[in-house]
Amino acid sequence: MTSLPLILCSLLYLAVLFVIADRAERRGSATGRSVVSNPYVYALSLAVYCTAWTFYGSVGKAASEGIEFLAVYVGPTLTAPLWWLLLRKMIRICKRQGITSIADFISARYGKSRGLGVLVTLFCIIGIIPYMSIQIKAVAASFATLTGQAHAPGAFFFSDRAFLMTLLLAVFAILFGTRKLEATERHEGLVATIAFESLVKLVAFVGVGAFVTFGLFDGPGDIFSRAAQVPALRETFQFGPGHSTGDWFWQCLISGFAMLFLPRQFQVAAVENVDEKHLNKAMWLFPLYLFVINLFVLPMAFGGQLLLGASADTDEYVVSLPLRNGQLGLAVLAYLGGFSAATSMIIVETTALSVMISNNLVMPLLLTRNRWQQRWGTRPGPFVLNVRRLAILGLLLLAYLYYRIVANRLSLVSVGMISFSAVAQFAPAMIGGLFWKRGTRTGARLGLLTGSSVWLYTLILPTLVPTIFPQSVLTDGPFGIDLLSPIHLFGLRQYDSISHSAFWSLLVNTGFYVWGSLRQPQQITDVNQAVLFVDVFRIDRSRDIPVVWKGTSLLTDIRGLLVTFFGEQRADYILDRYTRRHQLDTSQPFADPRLVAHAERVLTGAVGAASARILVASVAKEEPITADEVIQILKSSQTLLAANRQLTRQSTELQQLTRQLSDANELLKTADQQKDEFLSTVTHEIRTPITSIRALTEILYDDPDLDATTRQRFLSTIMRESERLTRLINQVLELERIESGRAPLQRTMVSLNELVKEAADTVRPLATDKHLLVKTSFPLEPIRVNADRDRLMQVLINLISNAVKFSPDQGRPIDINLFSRADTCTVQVIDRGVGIDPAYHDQIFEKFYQAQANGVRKPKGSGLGLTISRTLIDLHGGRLTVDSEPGRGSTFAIQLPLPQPEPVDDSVLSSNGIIEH
Amino acid sequence: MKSTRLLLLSVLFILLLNEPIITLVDRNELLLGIPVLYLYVMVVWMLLIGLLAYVIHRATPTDDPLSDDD
Repeated sequence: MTSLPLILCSLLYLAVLFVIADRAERRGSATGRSVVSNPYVYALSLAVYCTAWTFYGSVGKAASEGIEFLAVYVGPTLTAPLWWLLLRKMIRICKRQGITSIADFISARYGKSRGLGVLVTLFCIIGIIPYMSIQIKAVAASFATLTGQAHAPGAFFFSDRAFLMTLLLAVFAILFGTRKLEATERHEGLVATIAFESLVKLVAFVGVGAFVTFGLFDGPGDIFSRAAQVPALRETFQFGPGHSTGDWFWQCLISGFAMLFLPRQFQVAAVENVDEKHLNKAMWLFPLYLFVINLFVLPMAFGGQLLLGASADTDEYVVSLPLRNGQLGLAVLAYLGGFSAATSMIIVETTALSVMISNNLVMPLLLTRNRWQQRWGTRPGPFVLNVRRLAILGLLLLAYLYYRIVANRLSLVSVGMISFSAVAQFAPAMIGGLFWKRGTRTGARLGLLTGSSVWLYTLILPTLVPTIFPQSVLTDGPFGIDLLSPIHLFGLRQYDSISHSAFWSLLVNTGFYVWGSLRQPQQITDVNQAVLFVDVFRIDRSRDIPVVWKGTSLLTDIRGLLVTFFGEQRADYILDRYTRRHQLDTSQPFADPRLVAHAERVLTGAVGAASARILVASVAKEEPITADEVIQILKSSQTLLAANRQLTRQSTELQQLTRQLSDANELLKTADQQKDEFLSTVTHEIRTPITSIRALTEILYDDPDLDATTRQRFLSTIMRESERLTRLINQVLELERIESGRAPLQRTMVSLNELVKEAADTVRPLATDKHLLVKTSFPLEPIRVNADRDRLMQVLINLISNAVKFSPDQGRPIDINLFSRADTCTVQVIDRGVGIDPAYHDQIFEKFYQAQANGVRKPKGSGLGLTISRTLIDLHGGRLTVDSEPGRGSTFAIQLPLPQPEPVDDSVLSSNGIIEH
Repeated sequence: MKSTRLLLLSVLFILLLNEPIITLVDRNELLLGIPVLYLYVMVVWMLLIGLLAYVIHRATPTDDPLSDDD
């Protein structure tokens, strides 16, 4: 086949892609029903993962090493279930923050750090350029195979087909990738094209595979049984002899990371995602795609080896197998499949990288220069687009150069894996940033720097060995230090170069990320962004977007900023929509902080987080936010709550205090009143006998001729009243002494049986006068209490004589019962007199109660007897109570505690650890 | 719940497709005309895809929309 028809074929294919892209964009903007808004298209667009490397390189690697090539596809399949945790969060954050590239993502997560954005962008360029170069190599090689020309690139740039191909791809990528400024607006044409190309890849590869397996052989069984006859091929049925346990694992791991963190994967998976729900289907459709496209790799590799021997390039089996068997059409389809794989990879990769370059390298640099503002300030929008176009061209030229100088000497797979392990360096900062709030800018920077240094040292340096460095660096180590050999660092010889590098670089990277993060306190913007990223789902749900922004910005300035980048119409649309949706007040000259934050987000979509920050800062008079303020904002609600709680507690305490005070006041008042009452009662009580004594003595004094009988009667009254007066005064004094504690009890062991008997005997003459019986009943065993004998006697006599007093003449007997129950003993004094209304049961124990009592039980004593009795019993730790009803007599009961039994003996106490002597 | 199931699925298959289990089938033999190692990897891979689809689509309608985010 000659070159011309194949070139025409390629151009025709590109034209078809153009039509698809154009229709997709028109349909998206005209009807609003986007072709891209579809889980199948989303899953197919993810298959941009399968590049020309997959298409050609898999077969090449399978031919030499057997199943190991599969690690690159098994890895993403094994991590696919985790997309629900990882990718969904990334998608949500990108949408909320207007993030358009992985560099922007990492920069935004760690406090909108410009330095990190630059670092990630540069590292992406270094890591991905080789990868792009192998696409050029693959297309050029397959073109050469198909046209039967030599593989070596032409001597002169413009006569080299690969160079022309590069320029063509650059034009194509520019046309697709830089149509609109706002990278957050989806590239619908781009995505539709990629999805289409993924279908072409799949059909072409499976077509060729099926042809080889079933057309040239009798199915896979035939191929494998024939291969089993060849010892060299039979060896690859297993992991090779050089295979170590770790290789497969590490290659799976970095492939899993690459699936998410390669710039093009991030672009299609996170930035271009229309609906998070599409993930549901993509999570199993994408692994299925990988499975199907790899189904025929091994049969094709063994078939190629069996049919073509060692003469043909193993990377070219997909084209050369049909070609040599007279299937030109199938060979062209295979070529187009590979071409599809290469173009889609290059378009998406360069688009993603150009956005990174303009947003993270060029714009922040220019925005801080004053002269730029004057020169380009009027039309930065087109300027940004031009930067991106130039970036795409520059990247492809670099890739071409790399292809000419380096990649031509290496197989497709080894170059691809170098890129994979490069982007794996983003994993600690990315995954840490998604789930660990404490991860900081310093940690991310340290991790990335050290990890990528190890990557450079262990993977890139060896590729430069005969050219720049002497061979001895690999064999003897630098400066003859064997342990530092780049391919066997610290003597680790079991792993292949990719796994070896992946292990050391990721170990160092993760270690420094964690150490750097924990080393010093986080900065303010760091904290704020960490919360916005890690808690993105929670914040979304609460619809509470914390805006930690302080300062004033004129509405016209914000509008001006948007107009400069998006034009008047679009700027007004953005502002109006936000204002309407959040019902903001636009009559004020100053913009609402939320509007400013929104404008920054929109600008982030266009120029990146770090640049947007600079732009907004340039028109806003921002007051620097201090750590205290942020902490206050974040904790204000907590502080309020705490303060509230404290106030509540204090007021409760104060209320309690007030209540105690008023209680005490009441007590005081009552006591004061009682004192008054007591005084008036005492004076009344004293005045009564004094008055009668005085009256009688006056009569006797004034009337000396009184008859002897009357005189005798008067004198006896005076004597009785004087005695009463003395008794009264004695009792008042005694009560006062008892209550003030100046009359302590003289306790001894007292037999109650004897005491009650004695008291009854003392009172019995009084009872006999009234013809009353006093009956006592005791238990046989004497009851002994620890008490003041005289005081107790006084109480008993008082109670018994009261009972006599209130019993009618010749009434029923007075009963005195003594008994003990549990740890108390009781003395009951029962009379069958008039009784007391229960309403007065408490009052009869009060001082001088009888003064106010209305004839219920008119006392004949001082009115202090019961008061003193109760006080004395209280002092003994007992109780004096009354049970009575009018007309049924009364029962007064003294309850006294019985002495406690002897304490337990010493041995028991000492076994409990208490030793007493 | 969905996240947990998916995480477990991932862990299970990482175990099935790694050392030491993969060494058990690392033999120079043919089974059904296909090398044992290849057959094993492809079958386990297919199983993972099938289970993944099952877990996702079984969980979707019943999942609580609120717990969905966790």
